[in-house]
Amino acid sequence: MNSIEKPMDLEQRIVNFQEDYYRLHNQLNQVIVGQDQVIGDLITALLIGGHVLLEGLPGLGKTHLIKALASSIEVSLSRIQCTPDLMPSDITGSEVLLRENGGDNIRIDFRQGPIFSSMLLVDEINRTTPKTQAALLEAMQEKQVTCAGKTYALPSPFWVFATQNPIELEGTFPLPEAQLDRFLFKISVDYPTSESLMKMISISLDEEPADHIGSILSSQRVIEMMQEVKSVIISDTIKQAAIALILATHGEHSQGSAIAKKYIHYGASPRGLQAITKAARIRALTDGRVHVALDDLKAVAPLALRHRVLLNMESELNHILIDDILEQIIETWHQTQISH
Amino acid sequence: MAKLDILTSIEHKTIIDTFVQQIRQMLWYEIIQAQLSLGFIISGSLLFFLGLINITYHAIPLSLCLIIASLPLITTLCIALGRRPDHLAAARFADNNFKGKSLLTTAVELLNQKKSTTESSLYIFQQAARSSLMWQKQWQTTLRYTPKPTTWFFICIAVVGLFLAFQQGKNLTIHRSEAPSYRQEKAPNKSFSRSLLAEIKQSPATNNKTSPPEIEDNALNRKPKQTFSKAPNEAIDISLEDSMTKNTKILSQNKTIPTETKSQHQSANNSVDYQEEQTALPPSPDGDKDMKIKTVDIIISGGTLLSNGKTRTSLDKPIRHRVNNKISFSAKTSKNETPLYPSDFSIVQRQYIETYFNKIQREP
Repeated sequence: MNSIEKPMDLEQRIVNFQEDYYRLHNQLNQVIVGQDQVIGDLITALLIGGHVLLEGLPGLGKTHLIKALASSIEVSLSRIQCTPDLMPSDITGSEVLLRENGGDNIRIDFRQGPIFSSMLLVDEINRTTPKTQAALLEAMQEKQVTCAGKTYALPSPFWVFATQNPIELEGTFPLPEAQLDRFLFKISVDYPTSESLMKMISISLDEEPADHIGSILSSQRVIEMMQEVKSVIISDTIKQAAIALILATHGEHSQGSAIAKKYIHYGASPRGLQAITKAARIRALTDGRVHVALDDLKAVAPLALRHRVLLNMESELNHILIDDILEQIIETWHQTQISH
Repeated sequence: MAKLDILTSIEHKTIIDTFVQQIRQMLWYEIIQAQLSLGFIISGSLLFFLGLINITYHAIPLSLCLIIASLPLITTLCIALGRRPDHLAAARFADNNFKGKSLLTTAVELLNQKKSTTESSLYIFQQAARSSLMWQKQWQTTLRYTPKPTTWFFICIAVVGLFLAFQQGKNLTIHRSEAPSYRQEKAPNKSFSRSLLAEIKQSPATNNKTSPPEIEDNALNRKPKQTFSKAPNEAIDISLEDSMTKNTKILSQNKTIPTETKSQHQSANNSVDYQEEQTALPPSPDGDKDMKIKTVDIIISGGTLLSNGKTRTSLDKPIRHRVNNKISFSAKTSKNETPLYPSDFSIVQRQYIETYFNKIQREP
């Protein structure tokens, strides 16, 4: 029993976690005005170590937000602007011939690509070819790069933040399901409100706020916060509830909801279950708890499931959006869990 | 310091456990009360319905009413037993009620686990114990089960239904308390009825005072205990043309009386069906036989039917004629006087009844 620490120590750590979380949140909120929810989701993904796909119209500050985040936590950021002629080696790096001693010695050396950084911003990821998109698969899942038979480890922690436009889809390459599944969250960046726009003008009229953004958390502190999340307990009841939520998206399953049977072709993957439970832990900790509640699952479920559920033809013909379907599924699931 | 932590942890666990036990107990009572309430609603409705049937349409034995009415109560009790909440269900209920965000559920799960105590679990115990103490006060002041007024209404309905079920049925004049012993002792069996029919058939239609000699030898001469052994409500169908004469012969040859089912006696056309729902009372000590035949159903298929003094012919379907009147008959005067029948009695009915009384008079 000597390993038992005082609960007060944990309580203090939770308070510290909350303070750091909201400090980062407030700093980003000053750069990107009126996107509180997006910022919160982004930090949640950051603390899990997951990759994020940001989807929104041009000019909403997606790229700006990622840059501000990287500056705030003192990590290296690389940016790739995706185009149709982008090659995988442009991302991962390639082997080059090097001449030494006046050309007498020739050796092959691996020149690292932009992927070798803690944070990778892949701008407009759907504009590049599937071949180049696939170059990210190994890096995102296994956090390593293989080139010419050699495997190179990526820095830890490693995050991929990709952006894409929901419009101008001509000449784009939609991400395959396998790659979509590797993103922890798909965050929709909506248009800000008029009050937010007014505040934005006031802030950015004379100078760009992102230019003056400084680091408020060290990368080491971010890693500590990521470790802190592991202290959050998920009870078996909550685990079963999370499983029930994932199965509710499967129309063919006996626990599948009625709307899933009607409109969903493929339900969420087990990776979706992992994403929900991990994100729920962060949300619990930011709320000052070391146990996950049903509400935590409910809050993070749309983020984690919206890109993992494949709609069928009927929903597309009826112009039913995935968010509407998920909202109904989650609400039904929540009511069932409460009344259970 | 570690010992203090352990003691604190035990205290927290005790507080949580006590609170969860309280919730569980109350939930259990609530489930039982709710299920019993539902049972009373169904049972009350059923009992009332059965009571109404008893007094308006057909007599139903009280025991049957009570058995049917008790079935929903037993079922709901079984359901309540099946829904008995465990600790986890009680904790979940408390979390949902007090917006506990699964705190108590997690704490109870950790209590049940045999894993070593971690820092987080200690913190959860601490939080859960604190919340339990707070919720306990709210629980005592706010959450109480109150029976629904509909339950009391249906309990009243059940009482009314029970009262109706206690009443005499529509086709009964004998009190239920007398019926069982009476039925066992004096109820005539099928053979007896068949022998009566044989008498009716073999004697002239106008002869209701004397019986032919061959009837003296048949089953009618037996003692009442041998002949009255059948339940009164059983219908007896006898074919006049074929089966009745055969049975009469068989009965005259054999002293034992076979018990036959209705299906064995199902007749085709030209048949007479008798349904005896109540039979005669035992003779009084002074020798008079104050006979009360409560209900005699006579079904005559085909041929000529006399009913209410009118003649019907060429009947394609059997006609059921139910008599629900009392006939008083004195044994001392029956040989010389014709009893008074209600006007709607047919000749066949009169013959049947008179033959019945003649047979009884002949018995020692």
